[in-house]
Amino acid sequence: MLWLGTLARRILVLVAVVVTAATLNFVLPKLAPKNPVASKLIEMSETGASVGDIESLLKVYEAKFGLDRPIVLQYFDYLGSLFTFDLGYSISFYPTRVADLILSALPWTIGLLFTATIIAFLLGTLLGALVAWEKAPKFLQVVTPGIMVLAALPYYLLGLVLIYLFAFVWHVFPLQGGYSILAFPGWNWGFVLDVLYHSLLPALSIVLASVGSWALAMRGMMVTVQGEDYMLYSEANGLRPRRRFLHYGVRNAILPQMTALALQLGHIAAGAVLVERVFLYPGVGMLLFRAIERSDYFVIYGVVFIIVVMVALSMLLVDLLYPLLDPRIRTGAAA
Amino acid sequence: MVLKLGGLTRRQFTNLCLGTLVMASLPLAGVQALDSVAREDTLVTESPPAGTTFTNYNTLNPFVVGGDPRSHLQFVLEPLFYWSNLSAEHIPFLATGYEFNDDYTSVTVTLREGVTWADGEAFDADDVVFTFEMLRENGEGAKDLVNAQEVATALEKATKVDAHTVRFDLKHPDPRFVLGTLTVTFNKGVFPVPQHVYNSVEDIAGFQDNDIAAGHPIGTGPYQVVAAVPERIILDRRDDWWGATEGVWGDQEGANYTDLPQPKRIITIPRNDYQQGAQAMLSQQLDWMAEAPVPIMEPLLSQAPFITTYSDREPPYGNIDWWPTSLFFNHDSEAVSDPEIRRAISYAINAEQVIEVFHQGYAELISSPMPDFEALGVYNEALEPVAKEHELNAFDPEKSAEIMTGIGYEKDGEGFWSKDGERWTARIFAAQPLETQGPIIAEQLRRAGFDATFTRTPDYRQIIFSGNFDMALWGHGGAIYDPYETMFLYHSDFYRPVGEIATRFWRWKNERFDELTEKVAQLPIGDPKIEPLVKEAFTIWMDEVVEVPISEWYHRIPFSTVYWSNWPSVEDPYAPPTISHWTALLVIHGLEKTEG
Repeated sequence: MLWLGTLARRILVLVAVVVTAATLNFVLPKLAPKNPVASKLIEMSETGASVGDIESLLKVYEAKFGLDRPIVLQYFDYLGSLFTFDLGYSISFYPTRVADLILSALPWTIGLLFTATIIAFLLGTLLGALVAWEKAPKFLQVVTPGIMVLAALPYYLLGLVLIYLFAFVWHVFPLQGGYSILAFPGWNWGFVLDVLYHSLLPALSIVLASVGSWALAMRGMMVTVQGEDYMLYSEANGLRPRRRFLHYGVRNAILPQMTALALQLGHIAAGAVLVERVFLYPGVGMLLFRAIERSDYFVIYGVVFIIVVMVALSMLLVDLLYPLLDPRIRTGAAA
Repeated sequence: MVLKLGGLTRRQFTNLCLGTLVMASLPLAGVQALDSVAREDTLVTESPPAGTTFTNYNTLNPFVVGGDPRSHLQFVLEPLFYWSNLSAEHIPFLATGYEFNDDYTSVTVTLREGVTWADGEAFDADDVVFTFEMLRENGEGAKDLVNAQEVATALEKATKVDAHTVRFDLKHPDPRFVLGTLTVTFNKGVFPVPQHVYNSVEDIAGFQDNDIAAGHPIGTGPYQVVAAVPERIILDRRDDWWGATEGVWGDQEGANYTDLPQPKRIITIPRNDYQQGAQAMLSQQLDWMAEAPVPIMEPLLSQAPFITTYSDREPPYGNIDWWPTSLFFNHDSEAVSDPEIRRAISYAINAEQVIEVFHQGYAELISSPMPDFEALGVYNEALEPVAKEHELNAFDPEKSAEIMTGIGYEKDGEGFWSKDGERWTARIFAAQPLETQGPIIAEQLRRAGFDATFTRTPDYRQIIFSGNFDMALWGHGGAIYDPYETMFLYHSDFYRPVGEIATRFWRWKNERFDELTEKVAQLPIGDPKIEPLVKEAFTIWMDEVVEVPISEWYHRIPFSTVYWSNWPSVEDPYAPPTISHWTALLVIHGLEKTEG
């Protein structure tokens, strides 16, 4: 029962966080002076398309998008659309629905970022733990500081360097895109290999730039943990170093890492916006970038709302998982 | 107490997470498998709308706001007529001819017999009447479709005379109705759509017509969309295309568009940055790039002997467009509302220097806002002496200073023109393709004492079109076969007060110019009475210094000859070589497969 009470409290916090973030999500894009519908119509007339009198067409389409209604009513429309998971139409991709755009971009982002984040987390955590562990191989003491230097570089900057070296100078990897010009998405080995080939550079930029941060954080925690009495006690009991490292050291040091991982995974739905932009990767980050560029409110609402929900759910999940990782936090155990 | 999540063990929970991840990638499975087509039978093109993804990949209805036929529909739909601007040729396609009545208030169009839609239904007068009546009704009512307002302004009623004859009754005499509305050229004109598909659609403005698996969109053209995702649109040739049937073309038989086009597949990728396109051209993955400015084109040609252009491998590396560029004034802006100030600005601008820097010298000065197309040559020639008399392209800072002093301005301590202690200032904006001209113009003006600044901002369109600017670098997009379309750009019908979005943003009004435009509108194309009217109108235009003309605009498009030859060229300008114009199907008809 006590556990259920905790769960209910956590869910209430989650709802409060989501509603507050959703409200900010509604307000912020509206602060920009740009009228996305007007821009879209002008852009069409610029190409020579016969749109007639833009001002009257603008009024028609503002009404279609509900943008002619008072801002308070627009806000309630927006909240209603979030509850029904129907954000309507994209302005820049009209009449394509926001949900269709997100669904077509999501697999790319999840495929790239989930894999890259997990690889970076595992590598970084292990490296950080080993660097702080006195019995670790000596070469790690040499290699790891170099990797940590990369942590100071932003993903996209590293991405540009990788593109320059591996794609532009050495022609080892493609310059940009999610797959080759002559390929088309489908479940066949040729396409899967092509996608993997195109994802290597963006993934590498994410892994290289983030593995150092994971390692730094883990190293700090391991140093603290090693000073604990239970580590001394385990050594005095004659436990094997590997068991002491994994079960007593890493297991206790990893908790903050898990929190950070949950937050990172929550952000996956948004993609690494700048990495996707640099590599022209067709994921959600790229979709969000274009939506912001064009003030496409409804796509921004959709993508940011997913991020908010994902982060909030990840935090909830961490709260629920902590007791599994640390017996001291198990609800009711203290009692 | 050990916490269990929904009764799951830690291992079961991990398995569930992995399973969810795999499921998340399943939307990819929704795309259909395509038959393979050899590279040498495939034409790979780069198409607008610009960006990393197609904004219109899911919108296959030509009349929807957001639909853009350039990346797919122009290969699926065919018009009643095409106008090929570089050869000045009017090509009957789904129609065979037309006849106006004496006062140009009605035109009867004869449709080609033997034309069929992709699903086998016959194309006939019902489709044409349906398309134009649908647009007219929308233009008079909901006004939410592309082309609707234009059709509603001109058309009283479209009527079926028989299965292959349609009569268009017009609201006022309009000798340009066939060329202006029934003919596709550049990004203008109307493509007929199938009545048997569209007549059951309730909301055409929201109809995407994107059931590709069911063979949609249904067109009469030789290609069918077989796959569309945000990064790629693929069209396959329909070997049962009506045009390949013997006898349907009559007198036109033998023209290069009367055979089945040779590319079996067209793959279009979004037009993105020049570097990406150039890289794809060099690696022979791309056959038809959307555009390459001189600094990209020259290295491309030097590295790849297999790349050519409309002007072969020589400057200007392309063909002129309908978009001659100018420095436009906002006539409602206080800074430039005085024609004397506009004249002084005109003398302060060195258009030759702009051409030298921006086009590397490979473009020409213009003496009117009309492009130098063959059909417009006679009018441009007539305007040359007027332009000379008005010193249209003259760069003369001294004369500029003389004018400013004459109207009471003097230079302040920093060398900028001021009056009554207040410095003259102005903001310049530019269309995206002309952004790099902005700083050049601003610097030229500053050197002549005008405190002008160039501003680059993502919302430049809205700023310019709502009238919150002083000067803007832009192009025209008016006349193609006749001066009327350019004259109409300046008609006061388009005037809107500052704050409202104006379809033509310069906000210039002149009653006499309006009268002359309306007179030209009544005269048939090529009528000798047009020339003096045009001359008088553009004399007013030059007197008032409506804008400062800069140069012709060039489309510089690299073609790869690895897989395809017979691209349009100066020697054989059979079609405009631009993928971003709706006449690109004519180019595809003309392409020939290389020997490899």
